[in-house]
Amino acid sequence: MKKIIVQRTIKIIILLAVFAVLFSAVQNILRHKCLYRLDETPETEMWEQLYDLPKDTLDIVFVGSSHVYNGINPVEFYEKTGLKGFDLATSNQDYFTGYHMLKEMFKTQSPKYVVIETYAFHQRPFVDQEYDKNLYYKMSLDDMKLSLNKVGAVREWHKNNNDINVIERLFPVFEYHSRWDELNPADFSDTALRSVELGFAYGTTGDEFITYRGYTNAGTPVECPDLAIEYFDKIVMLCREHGAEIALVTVPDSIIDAGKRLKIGEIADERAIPFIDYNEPSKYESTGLDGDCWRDRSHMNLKGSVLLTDAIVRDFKEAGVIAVKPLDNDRLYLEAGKRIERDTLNRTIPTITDFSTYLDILGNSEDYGVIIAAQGEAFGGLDDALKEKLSAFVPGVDFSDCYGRSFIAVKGLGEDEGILDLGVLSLEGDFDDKTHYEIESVGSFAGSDLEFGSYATIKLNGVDYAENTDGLNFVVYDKSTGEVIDANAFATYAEGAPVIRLRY
Amino acid sequence: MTFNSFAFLGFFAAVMLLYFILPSKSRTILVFVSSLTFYALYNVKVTGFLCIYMILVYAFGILAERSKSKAIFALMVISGLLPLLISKYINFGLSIIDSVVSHISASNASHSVNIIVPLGISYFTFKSIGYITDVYKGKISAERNFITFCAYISFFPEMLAGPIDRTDNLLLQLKEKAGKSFYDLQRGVLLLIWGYFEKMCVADRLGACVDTVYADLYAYSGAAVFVSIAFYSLQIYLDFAGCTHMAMGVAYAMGFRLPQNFSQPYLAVSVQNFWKRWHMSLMGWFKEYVYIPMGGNRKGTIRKYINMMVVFALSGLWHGAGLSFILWGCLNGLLQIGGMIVDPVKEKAYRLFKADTSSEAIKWFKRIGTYILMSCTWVFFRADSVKHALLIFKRAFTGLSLYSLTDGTLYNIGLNEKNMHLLVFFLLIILIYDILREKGFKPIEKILGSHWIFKCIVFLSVLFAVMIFGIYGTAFDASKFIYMQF
Repeated sequence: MKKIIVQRTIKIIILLAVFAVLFSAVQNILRHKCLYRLDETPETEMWEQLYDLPKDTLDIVFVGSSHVYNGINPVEFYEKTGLKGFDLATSNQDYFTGYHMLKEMFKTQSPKYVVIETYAFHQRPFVDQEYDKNLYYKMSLDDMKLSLNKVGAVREWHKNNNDINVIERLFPVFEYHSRWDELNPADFSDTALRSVELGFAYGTTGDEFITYRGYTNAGTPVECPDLAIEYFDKIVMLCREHGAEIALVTVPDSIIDAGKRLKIGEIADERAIPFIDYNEPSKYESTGLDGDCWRDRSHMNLKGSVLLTDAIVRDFKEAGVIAVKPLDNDRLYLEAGKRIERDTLNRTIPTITDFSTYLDILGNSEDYGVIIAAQGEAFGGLDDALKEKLSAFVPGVDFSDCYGRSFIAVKGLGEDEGILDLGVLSLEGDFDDKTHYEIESVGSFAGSDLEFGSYATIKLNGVDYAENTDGLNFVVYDKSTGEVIDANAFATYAEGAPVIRLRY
Repeated sequence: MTFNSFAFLGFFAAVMLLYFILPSKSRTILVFVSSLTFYALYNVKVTGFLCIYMILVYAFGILAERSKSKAIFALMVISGLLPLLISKYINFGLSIIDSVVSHISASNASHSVNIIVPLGISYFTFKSIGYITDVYKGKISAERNFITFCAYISFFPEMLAGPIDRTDNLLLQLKEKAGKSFYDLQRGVLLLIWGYFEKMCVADRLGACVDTVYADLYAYSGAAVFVSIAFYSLQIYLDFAGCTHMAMGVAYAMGFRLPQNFSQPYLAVSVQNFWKRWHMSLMGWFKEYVYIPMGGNRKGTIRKYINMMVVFALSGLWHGAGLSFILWGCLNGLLQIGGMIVDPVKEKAYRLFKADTSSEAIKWFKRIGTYILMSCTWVFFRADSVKHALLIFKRAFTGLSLYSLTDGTLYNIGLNEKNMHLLVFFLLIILIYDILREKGFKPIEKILGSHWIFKCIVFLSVLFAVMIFGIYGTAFDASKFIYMQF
């Protein structure tokens, strides 16, 4: 009898263990990785990156909303101070969320400094204001690991909003299960989101030229909701319990209410917390931020984030808020920096319209493979300077007599190769184990019967990426990821006409 | 608290934990306490009513045993029925009176009573009436143990959708000494999950189509309406069968066997045969306590037909207070009687053409015919009114084209393409399951008798199918997450 009970117990434990593993896997696949645009809501990636950090890595944590994850650049901060930072920021974050996120962070990290963004001072937790709070709470908390902290956060949330289903929030699969019919490859990938490093969402799209308008009025102090203050004080207490020093920062926004700023100043003074407001005109000016540093009217782009971070570093040093450390060349931060640089370039290349710049950038980088196929008359529009540049780009090919010729070239993928000749040109081979290429080019002088049948083909694994248009057809291949990052053609055919990019 | 709620799962887990911790002899007390708790979680005030009702029926039972007066018995039955009649039918009665008055006079007054319908009142009332009748007829002696009696009447797995238990089943089991069985637990859990599958993966998916079409009849016509009519008959079956399997599963886990409520009804070869397989516990109750006392088939053919019509009209009324329900019941009664009249003619025709009535082809022909007939009667059951039902038929024959079965029209009736394909796949599983059972193969028993790893695979597969493909909770809608830039 005892043996049977033991056997049954073991079977039940095995069943429960298999269930738990499958449940976790299913939840991971079905949960919604991106609640808005792929590159604009970094919450999922932020949590994964936080949980992946080795214990006690962080020196400084930046807590706040999208202003923080767009505006404060931890890699830049590290390079300038040696302090390892992380953006513990989520969209429209208020201090209720911030408090529970910090609690979660303190489980594995012990930063010396916590920088709190002031945006949440005038947001009342649990209450819908300009946006639907519940959606933002889902975005912030769904990917937090199941723990007593998460249970506490969800219970507080439920207490303030009975519509919230506690089970669904603790196990989001019960809400997201209906996504089974919209799953895509990203749902099965570990890193569904890109362009997020250390919580910093650098890849946000959109570049708006913003004229900074500063304060809307001189104002009298605008009171903060009691609940916001209550949670802010909880944050202060939590940080102090963990020995972390606190600073308050207002990230630049194109419009800000001076009355709110005054109140925040009072709160900071009462609690003896340093406060720097980058919306204050002189401070804003000191950052060097300009109209081209904005993604939209209230968020920085990558350029803006570098300038703002540099300003924060400078001011924190001056005010004695932080003590810098010698750079220890931490791989995590160096690689994150490289990825930011590379990813930014990946997104820049398809936007370059100037042919000369295009050749310069691709010619100076070893990260890309470039495949070129000419179609029709592809050289009539090139002046001597551009021909020279093209010769430098594809060594061994002389473009002095190229009118109407076919042309194919492969650069940066194994041995560089370029052929310029009459007739039908073709080239085939393998870049690596995964990628097979087939290139063909037919210029305008290929033969009288082909004069009107010229074409260009650039096939990778059977897929033709060529723009198939007269001129020089380019395909740019990211060697590290194996992805085609740009496929376009430059209109290089018309003599005397500008060389323009034909696809953006 | 419905079976497919997280609250119920928590409640069930707690009950099972106590069931395995407490000694076997306290099983009845546990059933009683958990049933009252289940009821109280629904509505505390109504729980008080249930307690008073049980005390009353308990006393009636003892009285029925002692007094053989027909008048007292009738009084007890009427008293037992009164709460059901008042709570469920008073507004229907008032609406009829209003309608009559408005025809006689020019008054357009409308009267209604705001009354809470106690959860499961149809089920526990019928159980109670059956109990009083059985005691009065001397089939059983009145139950003296109040806890056992209350556990029988308020047995929580049966409160939501039956089955309507009889005194010779659950009441006896409650009085028996029973050990705890790991097999019963496994069987119970598997039945429960299977019930979830039927209800949440299939019935509710069918319901999405039916609701879409019925809610906007002028937007749909032809094949779309026909499909929704066909789907509704499957929806009501799988919804009801799913709930019954859940109830049976919960009861099984605690060592109780509940009566079967369905026996592959859509594999019935005639309407008579259908009603032997559909809601068996209710039809059994009507047969035992209405049809037979009225004379059954002992008083001639005409009387038999009248008795049948009464039973079916009452059955319609039991399902809902409305003329369309009564009409639905009467239609089924007429189909039954029609079938009985036509049967000899059909047999002659089969003999004339030397058709082998036992062949599978003939059986499937009859099954499809029965399914079509039953689907037509369900229209009256589902429609808001008789007028609405007639409109459904009218729309079904408007713009009818077979082409619309393949041109994507069916992906616009509440389910997208992937969901529709999944639904068809699930319906095939249900069909195979029912065919296997029809042939005497018992899938659940076979699974339980197999190697434990296979059992685990089946258990987890069905569980995850329910979890992923079930229609429940806050349906995710990506558009809700799209917000304005701030």
